[in-house]
Amino acid sequence: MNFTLRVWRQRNAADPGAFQEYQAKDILADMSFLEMLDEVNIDLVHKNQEPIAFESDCREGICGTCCQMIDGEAHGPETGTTVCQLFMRSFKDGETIVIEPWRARAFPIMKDLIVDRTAFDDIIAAGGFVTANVGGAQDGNNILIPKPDADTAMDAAQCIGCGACVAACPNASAMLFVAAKVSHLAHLPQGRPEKARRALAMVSKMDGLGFGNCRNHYECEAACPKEISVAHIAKMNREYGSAALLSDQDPSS
Amino acid sequence: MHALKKYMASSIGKKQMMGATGISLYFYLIVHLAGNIAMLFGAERYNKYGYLLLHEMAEIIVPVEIILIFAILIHIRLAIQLTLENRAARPVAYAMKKSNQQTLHSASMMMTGSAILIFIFIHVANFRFGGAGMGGMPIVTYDGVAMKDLYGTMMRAFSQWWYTGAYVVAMMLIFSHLSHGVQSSLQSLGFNHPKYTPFVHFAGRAYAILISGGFILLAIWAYFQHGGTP
Repeated sequence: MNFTLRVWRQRNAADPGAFQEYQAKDILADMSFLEMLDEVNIDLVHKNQEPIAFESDCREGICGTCCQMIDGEAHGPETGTTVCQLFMRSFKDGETIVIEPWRARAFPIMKDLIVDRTAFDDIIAAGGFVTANVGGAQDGNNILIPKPDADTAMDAAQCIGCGACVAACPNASAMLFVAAKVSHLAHLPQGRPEKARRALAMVSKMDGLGFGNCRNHYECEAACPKEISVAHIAKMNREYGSAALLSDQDPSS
Repeated sequence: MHALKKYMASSIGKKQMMGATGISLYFYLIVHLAGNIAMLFGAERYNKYGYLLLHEMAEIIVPVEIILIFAILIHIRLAIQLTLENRAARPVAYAMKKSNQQTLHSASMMMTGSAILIFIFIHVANFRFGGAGMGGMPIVTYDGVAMKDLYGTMMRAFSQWWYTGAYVVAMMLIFSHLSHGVQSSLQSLGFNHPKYTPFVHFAGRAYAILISGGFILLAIWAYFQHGGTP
């Protein structure tokens, strides 16, 4: 298969950046999107040109590192996949593919397709954890958790922090990411005692980092490679509302 | 109070206030529509209904109007603030961006909302404040009580094809705004339930059709009352 790629190239954060066209030739249909980019980069290195900078780590869809806007969709046209799990058979031979980095004020571009997602780490550091030292792993059923709660918590815990929700949101809002963690821990007995403090701290940090506001377009849910539901955003809205208005915690904590 | 202020300044607080004010406004619309049905029963019935609201029920209606004005002001202020913040959150737009879930209704909330605001100004001037912009409202007397001829003023306005046409367009904008607004307000306030959310999405759309369709039918009825001639 052959493709024409229109790739965003940007030397560094200060560079204005621009699209450049590349040809991806003799690509196998069963190559992943990243393997296709590897082939293009090998070609560029042979031509003594700067390879396209993009992030990848696990290449099995669980690390959330590979983040690219492909043909206007976060992680490309397939649902519930990351870029590394997107295969070239999803594209038509001869197609032109547009590749951009995530675009959000809170995710500044570092180089080409790589953005700085430290903002997500800052939000987690603000409260996305349980403060108690829980010691070693418990025996099975030592802490009784209703199966539906465990399942809902697991659904939310699947978040890999890739930032596709922010990238796909028309307002660059991080609500789905924050909601996934708030909801995950609020559904479990280990996280419940601190749920008010956590919701307040994480939302306060998110607001301070320059993400946009949720307008319930639900683009985040459609783009999420882990298919996390916007029901978790409603859960966070409830948690935040009751924490801010009914708990003794300060909303800016 | 300090905590409340911080809540109102937070992204979720703003969304929840947006939702709560929205709910008060769209609930008002069903009351308004129910009241307007009185016009089908003729001039006397409708004019007496208008008189009842502004005179005998003024103790209830005026506070409700004040609450609605505050709800509209808060709704507008938050809409502007949220829109500016959202624009700032993505300073460089994508060269290519596809939408998978976003609808025309959800994408155009600011636009339909602004147009509805203009409509509200005209509508309130025309019918709430003595026919301003309509050449005033004549007085009619029933059982010795003098009251404004709201029915006649309305019939005069809606006998003009362009007035009815513009009104229908305004109602379609309200349909669009409510199509997204009803379910969005509930989601913002945290109402999302696996059993009820699909129904809420359906009911939100149905409510939007009921409200806009109801007002449109009454406007068209008023237009044909006079044979559709000016």
